[in-house]
Amino acid sequence: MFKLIKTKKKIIHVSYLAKEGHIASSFSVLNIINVLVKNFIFKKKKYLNNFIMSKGHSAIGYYAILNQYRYISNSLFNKFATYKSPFGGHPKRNLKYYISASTGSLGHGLPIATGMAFANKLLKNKKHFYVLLGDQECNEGTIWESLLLCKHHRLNNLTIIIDRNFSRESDLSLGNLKNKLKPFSKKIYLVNGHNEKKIKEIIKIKNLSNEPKIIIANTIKGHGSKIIEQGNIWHHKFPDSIKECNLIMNSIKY
Amino acid sequence: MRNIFPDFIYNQLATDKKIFILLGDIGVHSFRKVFQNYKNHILNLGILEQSMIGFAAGLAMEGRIPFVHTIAPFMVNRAYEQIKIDLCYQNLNVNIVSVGASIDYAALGSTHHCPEDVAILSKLPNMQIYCPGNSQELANLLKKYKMKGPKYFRLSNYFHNSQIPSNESFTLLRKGKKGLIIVIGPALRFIENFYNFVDANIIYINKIKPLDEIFLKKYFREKIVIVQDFYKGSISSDILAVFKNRKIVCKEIGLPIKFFLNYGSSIEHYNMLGLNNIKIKKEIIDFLR
Repeated sequence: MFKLIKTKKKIIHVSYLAKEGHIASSFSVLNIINVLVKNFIFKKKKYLNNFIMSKGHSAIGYYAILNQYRYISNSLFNKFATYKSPFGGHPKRNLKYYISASTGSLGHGLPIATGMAFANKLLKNKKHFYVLLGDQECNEGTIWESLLLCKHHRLNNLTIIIDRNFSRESDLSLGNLKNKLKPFSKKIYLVNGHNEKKIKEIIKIKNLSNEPKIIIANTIKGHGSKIIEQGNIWHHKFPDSIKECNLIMNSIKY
Repeated sequence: MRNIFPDFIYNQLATDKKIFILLGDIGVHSFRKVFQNYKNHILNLGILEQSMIGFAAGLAMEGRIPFVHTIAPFMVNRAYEQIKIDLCYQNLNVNIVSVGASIDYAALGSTHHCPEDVAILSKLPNMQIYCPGNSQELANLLKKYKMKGPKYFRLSNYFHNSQIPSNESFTLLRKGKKGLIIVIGPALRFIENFYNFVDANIIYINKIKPLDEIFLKKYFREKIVIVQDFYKGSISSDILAVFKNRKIVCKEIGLPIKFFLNYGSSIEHYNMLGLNNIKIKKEIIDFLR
């Protein structure tokens, strides 16, 4: 399993400085984002404008990975969510900084990605699109709407990755998500969302069907720190003091 | 007015292959020529207004110029947040063309009314709002479809019969001393048989946002009348902002903010609300006296 301990510690520190950021949501998808940035959405250091983070909550995780590969500098990342920063708590469209869409209100990214994929499919472009959803985001009606569109318009140039971290399963259960999604695609894959090798393998599988590929990535919200994993109190919380900041940073073990 | 839209698109597609039409399960028949000749430029997307706006945003991001077309409340009310974030926040060139202005669909009831479209859309930054007063104006205004940013074209069953002397969106119809009358789009029908006898500056506008401030300032009068066929108060704050620091007495002619619970025809509603030439003439003359 690939470890992102250093990057996670940086996220803790930056969110402490900014008093902003969804740490736990970022940690559940950090491995997924790492795989995407490393292999699928940048080519020769150039952003392909093919990634929509519908789950805007993991913005700080995306910036951290961009920082890890030096697409954005330390000083820029350290200014996260400050007044003049292009990088806020939720992403704002800015192609110069590798952000294709403004998201954060849930259920907006998939329709946008659907439109982008459709436009390229029509022109027979080879471009492939990736959209990252949260599992509870799938409560939104636009997910149903867009899946109907993806299926009907045969959008096999779109890969939908769902972060299945079960964060609110007890409040509104999605139950067997794979079964619920089956009518929309025969290409549904379950994967351990922290196993980068497996994630990469599945994304790489050529989609010869006429349906979008859907990857349900089972993840742990707050993955890496037992403290953050423990409860939803960390959904939108950041360290209050340098003491707590150090405590949380030291709690990151994987 | 509604037939002009498919004709415009059909003609424009001959030279502009970036255009893409998304229908919300209306107008399929009137766009049949486009379906036949330009099938890669039109979709009846289905009844999913929120995703239709997001989908259009995606098309725009990939270089297309989308038009989305459905009944006003389903677009403006239901997909308001998508319009705000996907279109306005990202400032994408997407054209919304509605049908069913205000209470055009009177007999269908309040689910199909939308007298608030102008009021709520005008509060969204980057949004441009066009309110054509007849078919000819619509044809002219649609030519702005390539301009940057989201645009709303409000199509009405009603139209005026006046000859507007210019193709501009802000036109002075008459000069006078006692007040300033600002009349918007199809609402010109309410005053066209008598405005020549009113001693006031009369400005006709079919573009509500952004307002031409310099033009409006030129014809300032202390007494202002706004004549509209949507909710009263929809644009008065924008107009008052133009005349900031001036003492103003303002009268609004338009629909009251309420549900119109009766069915029938929209003309019956307008009459019951006192929105006809005779009553409006009396109100304006009394106010400017």
